[in-house]
Amino acid sequence: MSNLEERLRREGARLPEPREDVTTNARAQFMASAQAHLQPAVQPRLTLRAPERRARTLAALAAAMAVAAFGAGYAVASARGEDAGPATSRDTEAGAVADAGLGFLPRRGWDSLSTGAAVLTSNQAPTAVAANVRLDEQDLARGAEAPWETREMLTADGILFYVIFYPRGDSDQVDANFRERELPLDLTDGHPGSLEGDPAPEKASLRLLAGAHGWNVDMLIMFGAAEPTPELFAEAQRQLDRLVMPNRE
Amino acid sequence: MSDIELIAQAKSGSTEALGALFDKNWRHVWRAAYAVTGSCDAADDVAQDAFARAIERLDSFDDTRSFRPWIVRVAVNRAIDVVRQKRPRAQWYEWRQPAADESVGLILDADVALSAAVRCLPIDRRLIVVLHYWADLSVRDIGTLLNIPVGTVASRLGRALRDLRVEMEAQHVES
Repeated sequence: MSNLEERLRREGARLPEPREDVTTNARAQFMASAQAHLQPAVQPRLTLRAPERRARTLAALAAAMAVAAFGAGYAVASARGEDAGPATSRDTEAGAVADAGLGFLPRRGWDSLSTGAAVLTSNQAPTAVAANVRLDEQDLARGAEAPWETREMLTADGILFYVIFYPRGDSDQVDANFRERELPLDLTDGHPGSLEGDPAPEKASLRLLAGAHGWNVDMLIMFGAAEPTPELFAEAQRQLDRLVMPNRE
Repeated sequence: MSDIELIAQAKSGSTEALGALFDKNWRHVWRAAYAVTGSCDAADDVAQDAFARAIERLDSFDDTRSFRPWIVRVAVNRAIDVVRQKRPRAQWYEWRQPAADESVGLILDADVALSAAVRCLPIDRRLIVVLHYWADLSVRDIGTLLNIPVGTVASRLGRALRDLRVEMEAQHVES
């Protein structure tokens, strides 16, 4: 072996090691993903047959039309409290254009937040947030940004969604990263991953990229547990079933 | 316990076996991904992606095959995609190119120049150098990975070494 080759081998031995926190997070996410994959029987959503999926899709679309009535630039829907009580909403931006058909349908026990599609510009993409815990006030105030305060305080049974909607069709190369999928999206299409700035990387999270209805959907599904139970996955899927978006195609 | 035994247990639903598979192989997968991408951030993502794919394909995984070479190949293939695609910068989905200080930070002595020279090689030659010397893949394995004849791998490797020698000699003269 030449001197140059020996030096190259030495360089290889000096490659860095993965960071401990990255390894811990990757392991937790791997285990979470494995649980979702290996135990599909306990996830009711995954056992649906095609006609049931279609029915569910139609129901979601119909409900999306109802949601539009809430209208708001920032629409916060809180469906906690009374059993049969309808979801309520409150405006946080006066005079905002009514457009709440992008995000999560209101659901009892879940807080949800959507910027609506009207904010779409070259510099800003619509976002939506949903959590089975109270959304942190700072996250509510920041609106479109990732809900890191809520993420940080997420308890073991907590689930938090953060979704960014980009218009599809601007770049074939970018679109290629977002495989075309049908609604409702499927949690098991997600991969372990998070976004830069995640304050709790030791907790499990999945990244789900999808192209649907003319949007590129970049979704982060965060759990309060490092290794979420199948029941939590099933609950997250039920919430994911409630994601709606207007058709841009 | 061997990887083959762990896979069999994992297929039966053992999360302990899956955890053990991860623990045994994560570091190797990550370092292979780093060798190709030269970026810690990209290696984090590529290695995680490789394990996610492993889960997806676990049911159909051939029990008689070795797990580590397989998952390392998955990671290297993904890493090659990352390097080749040079995805457009986008705020939500970005593969960072290795910053100069990331490369330099790895090296503790005069071989800074060698490492930098490797990263300046044309991509086809650079891939073969890092796969062979840094990810410890054989010429035959590299040929399979890149879908090119073994002879082509060998010739590209030879040209890469020649380029590196020229570069190192030039730097030596200048210094």
